Amino acid sequence: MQVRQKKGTRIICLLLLLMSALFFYHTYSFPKEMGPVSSEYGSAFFPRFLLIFIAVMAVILLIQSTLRKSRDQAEPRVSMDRVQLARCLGLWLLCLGFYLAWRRMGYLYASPLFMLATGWLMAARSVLLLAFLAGLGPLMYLVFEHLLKVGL
Amino acid sequence: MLGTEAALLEAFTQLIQPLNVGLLILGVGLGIVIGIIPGLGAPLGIAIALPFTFYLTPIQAFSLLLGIYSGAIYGGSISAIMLGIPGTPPAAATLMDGYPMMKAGRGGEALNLSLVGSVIGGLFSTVCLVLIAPILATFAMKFGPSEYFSLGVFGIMVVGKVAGDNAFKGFLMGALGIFLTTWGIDPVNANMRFTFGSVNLYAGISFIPLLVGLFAIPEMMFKCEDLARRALLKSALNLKLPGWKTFSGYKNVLLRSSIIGTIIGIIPAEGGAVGAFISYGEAKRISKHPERFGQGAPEGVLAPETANNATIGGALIPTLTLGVPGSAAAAILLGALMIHGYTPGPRLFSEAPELMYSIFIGLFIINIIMFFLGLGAIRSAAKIIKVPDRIIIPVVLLLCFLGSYSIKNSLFGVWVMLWAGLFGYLMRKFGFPIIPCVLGFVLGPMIEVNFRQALTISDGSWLVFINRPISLIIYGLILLTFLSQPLMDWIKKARQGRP
Repeated sequence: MQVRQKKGTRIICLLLLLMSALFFYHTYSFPKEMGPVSSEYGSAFFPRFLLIFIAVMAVILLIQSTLRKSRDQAEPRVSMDRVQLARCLGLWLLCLGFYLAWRRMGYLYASPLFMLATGWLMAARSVLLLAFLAGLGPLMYLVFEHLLKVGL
Repeated sequence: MLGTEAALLEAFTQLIQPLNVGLLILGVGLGIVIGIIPGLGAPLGIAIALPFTFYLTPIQAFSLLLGIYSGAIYGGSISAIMLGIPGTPPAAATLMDGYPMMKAGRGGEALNLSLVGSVIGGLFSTVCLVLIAPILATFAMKFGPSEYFSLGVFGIMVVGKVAGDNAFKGFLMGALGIFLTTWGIDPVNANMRFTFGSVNLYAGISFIPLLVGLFAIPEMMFKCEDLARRALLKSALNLKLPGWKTFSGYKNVLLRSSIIGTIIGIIPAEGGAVGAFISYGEAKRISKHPERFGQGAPEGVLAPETANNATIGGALIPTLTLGVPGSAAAAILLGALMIHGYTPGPRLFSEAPELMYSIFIGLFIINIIMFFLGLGAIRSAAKIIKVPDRIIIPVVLLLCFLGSYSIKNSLFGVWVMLWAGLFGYLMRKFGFPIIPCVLGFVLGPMIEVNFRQALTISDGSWLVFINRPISLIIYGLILLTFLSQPLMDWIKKARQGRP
């Protein structure tokens, strides 16, 4: 699977433009000014200034990526095979899964599962290694709970 | 607030406490290991360790973080020499002669040169830090809101310009970083902004989960893409160390590289890699035998290694005095200062002199510790390099989760880290640099508050930003940064056109 960097840049810029517009609209919901600064330069002014700047930069990048066609051939491609992509996204999804499991089951039970799954995804097949990884979660639990006094 | 002598004494007394010495040793040791492992580097090491410094005093925290910073910059050279894979970007220049030396059976000599060069470079830049930083801080005390605003803009613009291939991508990322700081309670009017009704967002987005997400998660995802990349060391090691006489012939290389590294370190965002390559180039240009470079020239190892460690003290000069970081790792240290309740900038010297002195003294001690730990690391490096990614990735991820959670004992930090990680991965994948975003997040509150204060003082007049001489100089520097490259190109063309 290959994606031209320019195509990726265009998608990101379009998303940023959309984000800027939505957040800009949201700034009108900020409460009325109460502090010492005049309402002209109040709470909404700086975020709006930044959002306009972000939008301008996104438009410049969009124009840049559209106009420079001659250079397009030399543009690096961002490539990954399907296994790499699956492994990479799988890793992030595993992290998301750990977050959800932590919320539901608690750290102590969720962490060995996460470590085992991550180790397996990384092609660790040795029972000893998987046991080591699974044991790290509870070990860190002891360190945080008893040494650092952080309730997990 | 303490006087100079009292602060110096306080800093020294705290630094020699057994726990602090232990943290200095731990920091350097961890840094070396992080540096040796390809793909991990000083910024990532500091980012992972940062949440754990909450349980330490500021002096203890900075002992650990600075130890990691120095150790990681040095450690990268070990894998560059032994494996031909730079453990960190600053070690890339070391590879060019270090690896050929290793293949020629002179690995021990290369490793020893790299260690001594790193220590000397580190010590030299620390002396420069001690001498220059207080003077610069005294000057910066004259700054008002307008100057602070222009300084913040300077940091973002310069870093945005040099951090990637496309300056607009850098500016966009810098603005995104600043924008994220506007979430939560408005620091001037206490109004709620972009909280979307969530109590978790009242205090804004936490720095550490964002930082860990932007650095560590994408790094692990990139590692995951390429699990089979690393060829493990198979050749036998010859770690026989050369005598001290070897170094006497390289005095000039050491001095020149130390100066280059320190100067490059001072320039915002020009990190160790730039210093190392420039120093390598200079060593080659001046050498009587430039043809030996690339084939295993000892100067080709000594010059970049001295320079990349010299960038540390250099990078800390603008970081501590102006609040403008000289490198990616320094940007994270800037965030660490804020997390520990300090406002980066010239007032640090008057508000926390004991911390400043502890950083100065600590850096000297760190370099001495690095020498002895480095000797040990050279012998055990082969084992560290062999730690496979299938162990590194789960362990680093677990630490990231724990670090992000422990900031506020809340899973919201983990949630922020996860999305910041995906965002950072996609942005890096498509060539958007992350450093300007982190810097924007660090400097955002300073820029906004001073921007609005300046407008309040001037009764809404925008002239306040340009009618102050220091601000004008800073804007001039921004302009110079942008015009320097086209100007150099023009001069080059004009010279070539001459008969």
